[in-house]
Amino acid sequence: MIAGFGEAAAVALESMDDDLAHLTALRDRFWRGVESLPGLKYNGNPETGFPGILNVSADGLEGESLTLALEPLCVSTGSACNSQSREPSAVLRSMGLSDALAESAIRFSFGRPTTVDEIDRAIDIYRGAVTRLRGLLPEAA
Amino acid sequence: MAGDPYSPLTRELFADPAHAAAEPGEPAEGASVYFDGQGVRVRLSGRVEDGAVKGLRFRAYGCPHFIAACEWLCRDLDGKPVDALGAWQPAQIMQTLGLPVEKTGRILVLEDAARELGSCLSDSAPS
Repeated sequence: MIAGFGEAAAVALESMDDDLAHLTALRDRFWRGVESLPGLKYNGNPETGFPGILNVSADGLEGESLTLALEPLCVSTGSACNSQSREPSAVLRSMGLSDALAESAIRFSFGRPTTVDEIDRAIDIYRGAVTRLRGLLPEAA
Repeated sequence: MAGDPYSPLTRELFADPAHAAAEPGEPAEGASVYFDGQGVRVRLSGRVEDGAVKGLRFRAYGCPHFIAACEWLCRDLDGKPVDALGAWQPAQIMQTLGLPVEKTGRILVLEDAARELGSCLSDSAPS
């Protein structure tokens, strides 16, 4: 196992710069494709955060419904350390997000095999889901 | 799909809520009620024609189960006598949609909305 891990680390090191550039391009392409939607919040720092993950909140939406509306995309709600809970992520709330914004946070993950075409498809699906669910929201009395 | 938390009917209703109202607020005609609680919000609206509920529509914030339940209620009761709104039973929708028991509180919010809308429509109907 130790020898295998060493080999894996060597492979990762060899392609690390290319991988990071690829992931950064994908993450930035996705964000540029969705950021014009009203009420979106980029959770994290694009300069220092790992580019293989993008966490986005959509103000006013409910996370479980947004997750289902995003199918066939496989995404997670909240933060990684909160993925088994239905409660809004304590990590996101500690970053200053309201419960409502934390509730709608979706975590997108990108990898070495992810393609630009898949990102463009994900952009279309996310934009469609946010628009559709916002079209269901009631006005308070 | 093994372990799918949503029944096929819940998925269908959530994906195609044909009775979602076009506008988020009160309709131009008929009656409208707004309820919230248990992490959900709903506005139900409709009108009375010849003693029957017509144009039953909803807008909602909540989980897929709740949105599916709103759509199912509108499909089920649109066109039925106004009294059907007040007599609507949450147990039936829990069973039909296969809703988890922890969502019962949310369905009770929908029941309150249905009963209140039925009351409003009964009061507004010509005697």
